[in-house]
Amino acid sequence: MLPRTASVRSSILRILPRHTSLAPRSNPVLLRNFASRYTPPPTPSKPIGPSQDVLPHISEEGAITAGIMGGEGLYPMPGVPIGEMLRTDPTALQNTPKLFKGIPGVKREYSTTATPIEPPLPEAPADIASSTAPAPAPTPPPVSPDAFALTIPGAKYPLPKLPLPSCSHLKHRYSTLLEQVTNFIMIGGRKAKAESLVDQILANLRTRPAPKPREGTPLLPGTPALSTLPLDPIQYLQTAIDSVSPLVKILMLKGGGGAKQPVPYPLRLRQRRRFALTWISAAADKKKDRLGFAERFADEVVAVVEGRSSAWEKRSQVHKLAVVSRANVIIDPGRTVAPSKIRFPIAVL
Amino acid sequence: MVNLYGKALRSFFGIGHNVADRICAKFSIHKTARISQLTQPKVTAITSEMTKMVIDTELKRKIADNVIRLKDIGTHRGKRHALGLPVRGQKTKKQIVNSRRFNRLQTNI
Amino acid sequence: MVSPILWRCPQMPHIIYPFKSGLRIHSFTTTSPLSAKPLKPKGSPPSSKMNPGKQRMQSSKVHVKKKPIMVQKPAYEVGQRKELRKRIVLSNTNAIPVVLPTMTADLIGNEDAAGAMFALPSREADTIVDRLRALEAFQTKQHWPFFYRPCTLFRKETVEVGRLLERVMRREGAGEDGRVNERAILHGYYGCGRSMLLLQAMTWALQKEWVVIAIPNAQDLVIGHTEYELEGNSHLWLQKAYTTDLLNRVLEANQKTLKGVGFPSSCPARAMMKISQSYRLGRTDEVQKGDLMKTVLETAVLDPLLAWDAFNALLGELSLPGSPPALFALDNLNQISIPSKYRDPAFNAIHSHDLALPNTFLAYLSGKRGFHKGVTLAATSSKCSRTLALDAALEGRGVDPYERLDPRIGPSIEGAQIIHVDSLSKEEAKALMDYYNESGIMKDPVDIATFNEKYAVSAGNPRDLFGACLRIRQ
Repeated sequence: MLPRTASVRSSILRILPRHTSLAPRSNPVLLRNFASRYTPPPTPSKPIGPSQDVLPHISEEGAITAGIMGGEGLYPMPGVPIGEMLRTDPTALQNTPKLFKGIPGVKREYSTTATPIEPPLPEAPADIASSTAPAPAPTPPPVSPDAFALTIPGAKYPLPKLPLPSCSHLKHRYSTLLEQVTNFIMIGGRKAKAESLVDQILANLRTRPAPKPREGTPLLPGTPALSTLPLDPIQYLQTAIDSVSPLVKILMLKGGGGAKQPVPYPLRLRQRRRFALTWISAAADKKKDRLGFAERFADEVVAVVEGRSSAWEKRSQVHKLAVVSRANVIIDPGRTVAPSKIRFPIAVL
Repeated sequence: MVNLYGKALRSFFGIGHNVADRICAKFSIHKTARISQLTQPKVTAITSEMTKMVIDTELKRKIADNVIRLKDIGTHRGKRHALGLPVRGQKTKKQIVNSRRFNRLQTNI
Repeated sequence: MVSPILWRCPQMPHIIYPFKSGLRIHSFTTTSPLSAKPLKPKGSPPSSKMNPGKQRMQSSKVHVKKKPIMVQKPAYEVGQRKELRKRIVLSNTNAIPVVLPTMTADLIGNEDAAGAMFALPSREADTIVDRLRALEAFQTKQHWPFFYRPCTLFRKETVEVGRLLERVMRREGAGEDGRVNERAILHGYYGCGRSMLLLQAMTWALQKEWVVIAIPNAQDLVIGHTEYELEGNSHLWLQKAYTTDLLNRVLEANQKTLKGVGFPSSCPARAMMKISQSYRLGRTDEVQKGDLMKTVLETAVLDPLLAWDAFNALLGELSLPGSPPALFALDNLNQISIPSKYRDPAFNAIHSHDLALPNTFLAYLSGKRGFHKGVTLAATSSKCSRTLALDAALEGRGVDPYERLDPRIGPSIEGAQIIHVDSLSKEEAKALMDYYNESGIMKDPVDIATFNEKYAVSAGNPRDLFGACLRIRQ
């Protein structure tokens, strides 16, 4: 027996849009760019890097070339902007490309070339460099994006180079897993405390000896060598959590005849990790030693990777039950029960 | 291993943080000192100091005497004490549990 | 064991439904759903026949919450927590060892070395790290456990600190009596590396066989956690228990110097190890001329009543000609610029300068007392707030009549050179980040974009730079 579903006509939805903003959507003032016509941005104080040589204006360059070659320049007067020339010379207007005709204005008052934020680092003196690092790493090439290609005509700044660097967003500067672990550990909204605990866990994992590989520990395929894990504690944590996380949970749903039936239900990645975290922290809390939370948790993470944690038993229990009750799996996606709609108590495993 | 300031002194009725602080200061005893660390002259000095103070049973009796005096001279406060009701003009509709507990003529010493 | 078919699932990005609804094909089993063995739900009693509806309502309403399992844990032993709190791990075998030159005494005042990393000398024959540990120069929050061996950055401020030592060694600016005393205060923002500079100064001093006396945290002197006692003559408050600890540390760190090892027999420093005049120790004991300083200290360590006199004897000997140079260091100067938590018999707060040890240190810092050859070095801290008088004195501000500042603070640091510890320069930050990269703290190579980002985020502050390199994902 599956719960009944009420069908909602789409026309109703159209009448009552969910998100109605009170302000008109396309307010030109709000949508305007930051760039203002009257306040051109100040000229960058350090415009020139070594890899970016700003060429002179084309007419000036022509004049210089003409001077070298000893002939008359392409343009009668050096340094005349194209817009100015088009206005004065009617014949030139006919031969100009279409792009220039569309823009009656003059040339932009500011440069659109991207300027590097910092001039490249001055190299350390050679003798110190040799004394610090006997085998100096090859210096990485300076970052010189093809800035001009990314520039949109009329825009103030060039487009950012994609993909964006991972730290560019304040709220996503930690990995997804770490954010979840932090929120899992957090009690009463004390995020800073939780973050420091996560830091302690990672520091703990970093300083512990490498886990010993054990036969028959079903770690996730593609796990790096266990000896390398302490140097990368986030990978360490991820190995433990993703390996021990269950694939399904068991819902106790009312089946045919009124009896409750266990129904395996697939989990998303985040949900699976949450189950793993619950098991790991429950196992950690049962430790009898007088340890801080971070140490207990790190101990348990090591135990998971070494295959001696009680979380593995819980996982295999769930999976066994799922295999036994595989006949109850709800196959039809059209009639899947969303977890929020289930009205009967659920045996959460 | 009893902390003098934290446990020993303040276990007496009538010695709180302030008085304990002052006793410690008088004999130059730091706050984390244990009783076992004290020298014998200091222990004697503290003991003699405390015999001069009105504390514990003596203090309780003194308080009880004061209440009885109030009753004897027939004041309102004395009456309220005798009735087990609030003394300082509080309402009596609710929340007078503490006055019922503490406002008596005879305290258990 | 999990069946292999389940293992494929984590690798599959999506669950694919190959068949449309209505077309039901069970690929793995042909048994009908009803014939599957229904499992009994755990715990819940079978519904009674009399009123099944009520039963169900109850079971849906009553939310059974499991109590967390309380595990009985053994209590801490006395002092165990303090030990855990103060435990310092100096090496991590998991980290990648980085080959770096050693921070030798030749580098004192070497400007060219600024902006490079150096390892603290920790060869087997060398006990510098152990001696620094005895002096409690390493602190718990300095990220030592992340690296293979303790290494420090040679900064431009390190050069300045080195200059102090250098001037004393070369006897520049010696007075008529041949005394050289350099006095300095390391001052800067939080996390700028003042304690690390003290550590570097101590490293050099120990290598040069100076006598190093260090108060690792001045807070211990003023929070009222050690014994105190009024001394009648000087009207100062002695802290004998703390002085005993201090002497213990001094004795452990300066074994070699006190024995006179490393000095040629013609060197006058060797003679110093024998006491040149008699001192009183406690009420009854007396030190005779010609006793060994080491013996005196060893006696004093066992008996707290003798500690203060022995400490004074040590300082007195160090001020005589022919004595080895000395380094007197104190961390967290701010803590002794505020009233202490101690009380006098009249229940007034005792001024920190009336405590004997801070008083002695400040006498050396302000030049009232001096070694024959010596450096007095203090570092401020950011943990202690509201030290307005000290801040004013450090900035050299004039007296504002409307500001009620403690008049004793200003003169106490008068004449000391103030070394402003700044944020890292780009070269220094680059060296530090390269070191982090080689040790395995940062995964990515340090290119210009990464460098600029981390440098901008941390504003060149060493503590923040480490956090930015360690935590933020790359």
